[in-house]
Amino acid sequence: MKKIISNLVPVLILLSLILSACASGGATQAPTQAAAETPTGQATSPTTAPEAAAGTCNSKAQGQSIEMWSPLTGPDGDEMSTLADRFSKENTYGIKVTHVAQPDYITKLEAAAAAGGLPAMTVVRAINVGQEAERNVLKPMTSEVMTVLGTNIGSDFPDQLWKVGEYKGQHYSFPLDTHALVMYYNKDMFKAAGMAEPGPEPWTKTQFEDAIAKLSASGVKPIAIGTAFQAATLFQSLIVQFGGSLTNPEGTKATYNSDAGVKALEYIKNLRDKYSPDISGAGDPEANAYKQGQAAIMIHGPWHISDIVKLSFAGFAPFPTIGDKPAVWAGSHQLGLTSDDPAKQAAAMCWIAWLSQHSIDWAKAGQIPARTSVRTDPKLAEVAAPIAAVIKNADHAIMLPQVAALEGALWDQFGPVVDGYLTGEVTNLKTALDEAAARSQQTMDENAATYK
Amino acid sequence: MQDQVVQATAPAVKKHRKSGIVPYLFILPHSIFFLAFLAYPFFYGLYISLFQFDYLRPEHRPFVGFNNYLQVFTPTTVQYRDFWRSMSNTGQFLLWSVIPLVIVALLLAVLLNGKYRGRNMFRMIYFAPYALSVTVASILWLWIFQREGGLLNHYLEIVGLPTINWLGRMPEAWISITIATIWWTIGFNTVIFLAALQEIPTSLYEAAAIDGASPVQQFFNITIPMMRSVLIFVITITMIASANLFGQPYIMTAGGPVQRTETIIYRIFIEGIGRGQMGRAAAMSILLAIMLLFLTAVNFKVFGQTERS
Repeated sequence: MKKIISNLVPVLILLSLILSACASGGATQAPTQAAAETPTGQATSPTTAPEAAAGTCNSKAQGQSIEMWSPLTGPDGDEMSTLADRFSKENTYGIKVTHVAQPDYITKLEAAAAAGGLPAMTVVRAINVGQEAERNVLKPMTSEVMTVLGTNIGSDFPDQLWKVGEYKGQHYSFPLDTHALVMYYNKDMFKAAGMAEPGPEPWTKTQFEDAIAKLSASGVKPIAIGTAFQAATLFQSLIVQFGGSLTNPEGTKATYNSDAGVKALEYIKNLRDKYSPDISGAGDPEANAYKQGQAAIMIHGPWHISDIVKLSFAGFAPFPTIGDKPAVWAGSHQLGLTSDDPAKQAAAMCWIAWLSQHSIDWAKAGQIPARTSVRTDPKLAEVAAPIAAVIKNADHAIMLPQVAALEGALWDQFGPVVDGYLTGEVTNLKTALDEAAARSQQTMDENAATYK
Repeated sequence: MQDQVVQATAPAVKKHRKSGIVPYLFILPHSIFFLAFLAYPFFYGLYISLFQFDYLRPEHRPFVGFNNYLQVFTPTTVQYRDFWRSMSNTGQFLLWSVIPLVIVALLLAVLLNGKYRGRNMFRMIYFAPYALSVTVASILWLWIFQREGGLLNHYLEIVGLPTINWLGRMPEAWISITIATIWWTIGFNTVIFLAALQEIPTSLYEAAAIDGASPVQQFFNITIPMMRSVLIFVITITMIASANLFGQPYIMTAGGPVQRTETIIYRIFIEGIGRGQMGRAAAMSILLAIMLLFLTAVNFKVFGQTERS
């Protein structure tokens, strides 16, 4: 008898383990089943859905609670949560949207995809769309689910912003905003140097260099240039201004080792060596230097606006045109679906349509609204003056073509060269860029084979 | 034949075996975790290292043979550069960290082994940081070492000294990470040394004192030799722990400046989690494991020899 019991124990333990594993598996399946049942239970009439006009949500969305993840961990995230709460209260379909902001959101999304715990949708950086589509995190936005956005919606966006949501001929994301580099300046220092403040048009090379000289003569550091992210985005802007580009238009060839690339970096290094406080490293030390009044001009992403706008001396202007044509590095927050469930998709699209219509409020979070009709709205200057001041940036925004994992293939290689050159470790720039471009090409070829 | 041998040589053992399943039950809890979290992942890692393996693309997993390993040994590939640079960075951290992690812990243990009031409180204080997660410890030290607005630079400024770009330059970044690591993990080594110190019979010290040996002589002629096996153990696990450095540079320097603090585990993380190249990451992990095994063997060999001589 004793033996039987002692033999039974491990069996029981094993059984309980297996059972508990089954139980958790069942738990994850339950909501999907329930969700699938709701629409049929309500007997939605299939005739109304396809013909729904813009702004009329698909009735499948009725009563859905959905979660949206995002990388918006700063003050912009609070703004997004406020908008989500407003939509949850205002919409007549009983849709509830919860916004969850988190750092490393891509890693979290991928882990959630592996574990079967994806939210209904996510804010996705345009640069990640291709790879996340390939990795089954983003679900296609079919023309059927997009009907709620209205017909011909794409024409209300700059072509590039709309196209960046397309991957392999399929739409995966919807543009919310664009974030191009902003030229922050110190009004007090400008006044002290006897200079007029920049206007809404990008400064020309003469205006920019004149300002640097005058500021320098007035005894302040004219500009804050660090390394890492800031230097990499400056490089990407100037290489295009000088007539080059990071890649060919298809995004299949690395071309940043051109003369334009060398020229762009030489220009940045000269500025940094002569006119900037000595700053480097991650964590945007250049933004801190500007905030502490250690430099008169600082060029960085618009996500610093909501913080910097609190400073009495803060001024905002578009990125200057130092080369032959205007161009400025930009990214874009896009909205993408991460659930296959038609009811969740319908609810998400209903919220996306509302959010896009209210994207003038999103400008308050320091982002340039993606929609042309919103960007040209005269009310923008009242709602978000700093955004209105830099709005010209949107016309010259440059983005990488939508190729899976392209950004990593490029940045991982030119980033260290940019930093190394600026800090004096890389001396033969052309050779270093050639070698880096060859390595980028290797990764790009490998990616092309992986994601063919 | 086998049965005969068993019967002939070890009847007692056989009887013991028959006596039941109890011993197996005792090792069962550990076996479950060992199999689930060590043995299975290890063999699964070996398996996926032969594939181009993305956990999110089950439909695209081509078999690539030893290609993931070959890439790391082919000087023209991106992987060769990334892998060996990270390896060299990891080696640098070993040089920076292992000696202080062992010596400081040993000195602390000797101090904490003395007889004075509040000894237990000090033991607790020195061990406490080890209870923190790597994230908390790293963020604390990030706030201290930050270039702009960091605590340390703030005080340097108040005293009128030039501020230092702790995390953005070499070797300052290694120094910062090493200090953070010592503060965070020193308690573990200290506790092991402390336990070993308490095992040394006091009669040895008494005899030495009668013979006129100074405390320093006692330390080198009694304490160190008596602790040799523990020292080998501590040096080995410290080396392995340092070779597995990841959280501190991930949070404090993001691998910078210019990828100089990007360690091998950091690289494996980027390849596997960041890029979805799990097969390549697994191959790199296995190469690292082989190197660590080698390092451990060398350790035991070197220290074992000095013991014999």
